[in-house]
Amino acid sequence: MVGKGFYEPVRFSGWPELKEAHLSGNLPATFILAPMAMALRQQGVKLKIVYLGHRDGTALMVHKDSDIKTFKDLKGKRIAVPNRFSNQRLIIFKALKDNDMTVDEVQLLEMPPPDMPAALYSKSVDAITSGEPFMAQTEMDGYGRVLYQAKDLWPNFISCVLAVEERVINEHPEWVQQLVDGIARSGKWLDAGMEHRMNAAQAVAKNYYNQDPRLLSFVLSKPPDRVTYSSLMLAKKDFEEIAALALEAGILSGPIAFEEYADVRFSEKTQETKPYDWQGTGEGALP
Amino acid sequence: MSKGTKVVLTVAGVVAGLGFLHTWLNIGFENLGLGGDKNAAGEKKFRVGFLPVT
Repeated sequence: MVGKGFYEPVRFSGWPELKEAHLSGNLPATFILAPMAMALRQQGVKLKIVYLGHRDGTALMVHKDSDIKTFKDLKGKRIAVPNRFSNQRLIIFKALKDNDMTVDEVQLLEMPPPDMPAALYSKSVDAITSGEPFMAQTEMDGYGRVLYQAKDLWPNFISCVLAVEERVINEHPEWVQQLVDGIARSGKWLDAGMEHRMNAAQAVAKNYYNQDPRLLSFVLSKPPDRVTYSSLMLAKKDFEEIAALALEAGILSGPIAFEEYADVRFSEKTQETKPYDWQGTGEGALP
Repeated sequence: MSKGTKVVLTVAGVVAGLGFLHTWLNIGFENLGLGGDKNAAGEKKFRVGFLPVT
């Protein structure tokens, strides 16, 4: 019987380390960048995407004093992205296409997200984009300005997905289903009201992220749809769009079928899942 | 059993033992399929990796 405490969250500080831990076989499941999971699968790693981590939750930031007002103003500018396998890099590719621009018209730099706020503050880059809360940090500290939220450039944007070793899926599908159900219930609970989000900000900042609860509160409320958690089922069309851009960006070496890297069985069973009934404590305690 | 056979078997045993010890110390029993999915405290655990991003 899988009981309380069976799932052990393991925190990493960078995508490469997380990827290596997964490849070593000591991490049966991981939240990972969607294009990275697809590329690993194409390279022969036996994993499958089973659910999403969240939607949106990414912003494109410029310095508040910057004269960059539209995407076209980024022509010739330096934009920091987290990783060549990140969806944030793909969102730039998509926006370039949507604005009739090419990748040669901007300078993309890879930078770990925690380093991005300082780079923007010192103006060593002109724009930064990554998952939250690093973008919100620049806004909260008064020197960053949102040029675009992810939803403005790519509605229903996907960044992180839950990827699970195929061996575990085959041998213990019940473990995977319980994990996916838990994420679905948490997501629905989070999106059920601002009070829930504020409770979660306190609990997660203290127990998991080791970050300032005020920062997470900011991310989860300004605006309330900055990050969303209740529409996390796998949709083939979303991934086909990512795959097409990833192919264009050189992340994928060739076309790859959705069924090859995704297993929708667990996701489909969450359709009727109800949110948790936890009321929260506001003091960082978890149920 | 001849002396030569004993020497060969002993050498093979030592090599196999050292190999097993190295494997255990470097990648652990989990990856040999001998220890199940347990953490250092011997509890059954399902590890889920994440980065502190929302």
